[in-house]
Amino acid sequence: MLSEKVKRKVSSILAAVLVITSLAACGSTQDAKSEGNAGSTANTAAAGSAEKEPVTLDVFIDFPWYWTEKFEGIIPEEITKETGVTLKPTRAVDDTQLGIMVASNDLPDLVYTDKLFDRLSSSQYSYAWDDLISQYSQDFKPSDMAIKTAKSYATDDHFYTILNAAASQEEWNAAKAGCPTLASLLYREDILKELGNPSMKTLDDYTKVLGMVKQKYPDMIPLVLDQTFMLSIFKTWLIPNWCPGNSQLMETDDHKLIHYTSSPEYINFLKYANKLYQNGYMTADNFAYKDGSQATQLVVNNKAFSYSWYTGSTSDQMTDMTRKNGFADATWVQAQPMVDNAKYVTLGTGWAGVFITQKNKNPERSIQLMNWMFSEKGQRLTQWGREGTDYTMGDDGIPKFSEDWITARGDENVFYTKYNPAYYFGISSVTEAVGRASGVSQNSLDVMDSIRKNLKLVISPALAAPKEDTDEKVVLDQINEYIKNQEVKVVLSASDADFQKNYDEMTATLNKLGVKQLEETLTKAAEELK
Amino acid sequence: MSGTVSRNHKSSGVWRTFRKQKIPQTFAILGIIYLLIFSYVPMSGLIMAFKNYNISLGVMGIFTSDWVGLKHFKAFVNDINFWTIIRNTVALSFLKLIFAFPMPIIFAVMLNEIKQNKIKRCIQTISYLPHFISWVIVSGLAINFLATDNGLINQMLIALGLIKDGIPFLTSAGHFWPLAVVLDVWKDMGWWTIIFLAAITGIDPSLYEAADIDGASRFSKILKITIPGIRGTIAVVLILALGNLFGGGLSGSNFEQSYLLGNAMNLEKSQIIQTYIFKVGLSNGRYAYATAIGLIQSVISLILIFGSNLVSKKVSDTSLF
Repeated sequence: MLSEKVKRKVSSILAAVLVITSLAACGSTQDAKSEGNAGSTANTAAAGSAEKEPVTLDVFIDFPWYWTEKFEGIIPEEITKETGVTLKPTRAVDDTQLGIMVASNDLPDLVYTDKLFDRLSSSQYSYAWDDLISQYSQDFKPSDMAIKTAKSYATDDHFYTILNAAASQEEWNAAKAGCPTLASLLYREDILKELGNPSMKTLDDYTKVLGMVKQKYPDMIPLVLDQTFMLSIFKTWLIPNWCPGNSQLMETDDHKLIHYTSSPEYINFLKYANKLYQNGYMTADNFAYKDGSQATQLVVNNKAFSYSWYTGSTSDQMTDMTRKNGFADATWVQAQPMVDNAKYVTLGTGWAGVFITQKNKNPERSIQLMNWMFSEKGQRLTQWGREGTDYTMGDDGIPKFSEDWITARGDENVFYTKYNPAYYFGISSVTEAVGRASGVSQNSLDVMDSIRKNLKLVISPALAAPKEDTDEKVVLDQINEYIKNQEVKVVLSASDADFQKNYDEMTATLNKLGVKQLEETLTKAAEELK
Repeated sequence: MSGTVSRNHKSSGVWRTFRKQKIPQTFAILGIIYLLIFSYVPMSGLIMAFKNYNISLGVMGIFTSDWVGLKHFKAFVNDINFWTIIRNTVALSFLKLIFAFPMPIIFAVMLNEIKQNKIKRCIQTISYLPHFISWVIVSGLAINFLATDNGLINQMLIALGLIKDGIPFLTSAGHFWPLAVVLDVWKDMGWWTIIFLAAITGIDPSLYEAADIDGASRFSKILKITIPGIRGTIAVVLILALGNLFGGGLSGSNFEQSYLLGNAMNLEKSQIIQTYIFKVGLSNGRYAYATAIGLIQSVISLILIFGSNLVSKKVSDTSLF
C-alpha cells in the first residue's frame, strides 16, 4: 500500500504535469513557427550547394471533394525525383476550414485554394512571389495577365500566387482538342436505346425522356446531381453569359457586371428546374447530401438515368465504374448542348492558386517547386505522367496514353492511387484539357469540341469582384449566402403557387440586400479595369 | 495595534487552513488557471464587437482598430436573418428544455422502481451509451435512417402501408425541430439519468419504510418522497441547463445538430445564432460582426443564469451561488 505521503507527492506531480501540458499546448504554435524559421534559414544557406536536398512541405488542399489526400503514386514519386520536394497534403474537411486556419494563423507551408485570395494575398500570411522569384528563381516568368490577376487580390504592388487553369482566348482557339472543366450532362445511352431512342436534342426532348424513364424504370432517379456541379449545366444552357465562379457575377453582352440572379433569363432556369422537381425527376434528398459519394453511388449502381457532372472523360469513367458494379450493358455518354447558340463562359483568369505562407519552412524550395510546376515539363508530368512510358506525344500535339493509363483512368480510385495526377498546381487549362481529351470516347471528344468552339472567356467577374473587408464584399456575401439557400427553396417548390411565392420573396429580398447598387458599383470597377 | 494583530492572526489562520488543504487547493488552482487562460483572457477579444476590425490588421488590430460603437449590433438587428435566427434559437432551446429536461428525471424515477438489478443495469447501460457517440456519427446515422427515398424508416413505413410517399424528415423545415428534440433525448437522456439516480440513492431509505408502514402506494412514494428528495439536484441541473439554454440545454447540442442536419431546405428552421456566427465569422471573415452577435447571446445567457438562480433560491431554497 502506498503511504499517504507518497500519494500526495504523486498527486502533486500529476498536477504539475497537467499545468505544464496545458501551457505547452498554448505555446506549441509559437514553437512550431520558431522551428520553421530556423529550418528556413538553414535550408536557404544550404540550397546553393545542395539544390535537390530532400524537403518535405505541408500543403493544405482547400477542396473537400479532392481526389486524394496522399502524396503517393507514380506522379508524386516523379515530382519528388525532379524537384526533391515531397508534399504532405491535408485535405479540407469543409469550406470553412481555411477561414479558421487563417483566423488562428495556423497555416502550413503551402495552401492550395480557390478562395480567400484577398486575405492570403498579404505579407501578413504569405510570401510575395515576386520577391521570392527575384531572390531564388529568376527564370520563372509568369505571364503579364497572370501577374495582373494575382495583383488584383493584393493591396500592395506584389503578387502572392499565380492561378493555375488559366488560358487566353487565343490559346483556346489554337487548342487541338479538349475544353475547360465545365458542367456537363451525362446520360445512359443504353437506357435511351431501350426507350426506342427518342430525340434528346432540346431540353423539351430531355424532359420527355425523363418522364419515360420515370414510368418505365420506377426504381431509377431520372436526374441525379453531383454535389459540386448541381444544376450548373442548366444554368449554362438557360442563362446566357452565366459564368461559374465563387463571386457568382457575370458579364452581360453590353459589358455590365451583374449578379446572375439579375439576368432576365434566370427565371427560365428556375422554372425549368422546378418543373424537374415537381414532376419527380430529381429528389429533394439530393440537395441534402453532405458528400459527393452519395450521388456517385446512385450513378454507378444503376439508380440514375442522367447525371449532372462535368466535361472530360467523366462519361467513360462512369461507364467503367457502373459496369464493374455488375451492370454490363451500362453506357454513359455526354449530352450535346440542348439549346440553340449555347455559350460556354469561363473565367480566363484561372482557378486555384498556391500560397507560400509565412510559416513556410523553405520558401526558396517552395518557389522553385512552383516554377517547375508551371514549366512545360512540370505541367505535362503532373497531368500526363512520364513521357515515353505513360504517354508519347502525337504529331497532332495530343498525347497518346498507354493502355495501362487509360485502363486506370476508367476507375477514379485506381487512377488516383496508382498514378495520382492531382498535384497539378501549375497547370494551364489547355494542357489539362488536351490531356483529358486523349483516349476518350468519340462522344466525349465531340462534346468537348462543341464546347471549345462556343467558349467565351471573361475576366471582369474575377478582377472586378469586391475585395475582402469592403462593404461591397459584405453585401455580395450576403446575397450569395441567401441565394444558396433560397434558390433551392424556389427550385423545390411543391406547386406553381409556392414557386411564385418563393420567387417573389427572393426578388424582394435581393432588392432589400442592395443587389442593384452593388451591380452599379461593380460595373464601374470593371470599366476602370479596362 | 490590536486590529493589526487580529488581521495577522486571521491571515495566518487562512494560510494554515490553505496548507492543510494543499492537495484539493492545488486542483482548484489548476481549474482557476485553466479558466483564466482559456475563458477570461480570450474575453479581451470582445472589444472587437465595438471596433472596425478586420483580420488583415492582425491580433493587435483588435486593440488598435477604430471604435465604431454599436454599429455591428445595429447591423445584426437589421440583418434579414435576424428574426428567423432568434426565433429558431429560442424555440429550439425551449423545446429541448420542455422535452429533454424532464425525461432523465422521469426515466431515473422509473429505473429506480425496477427491483431486478440486472435488468436495471442493463437498461441504464443501453440508455447512456448513445452519449458517447459524437454528433457527427449520429447525424450520419440519422441521414441514412431518415432519408426520404431510401431511408430505412421511410422504407419500413411504406412497406407496412402506413404511408404512400416518404416523409421528408431531413428536407422539410417543419420536421427539423421535432427531429432535433427526439435525437437529443435519445442521445443524452441516459447520461443525465445517472445524476438523478445518484440523487435518488441519497434519499434516506427509512422514509420509504415509514411510507410502506403507512400503506403508501408506489406512486405516492414517488410524488411525496422521491421527487422532493431530488428537488435540490433538479434545481441545480435546471439552473445549469438554463445557463446553457441557447447552447442546447443539458446536452449543449444546438450547434452540432443545426450544423450537421441543417441544409438549404430546412434552413428557415435550422439556422440558429451559433451557426450564423460560424458562417459570417469564419466563412465570410466578418469577425467583429460575429463577435457582436456572440456577445448578445452571452449577455442573454448570463441574464438567464442569474435569473434562474434567483428564482430557484426563492422557490426551493437551492441555488448555485
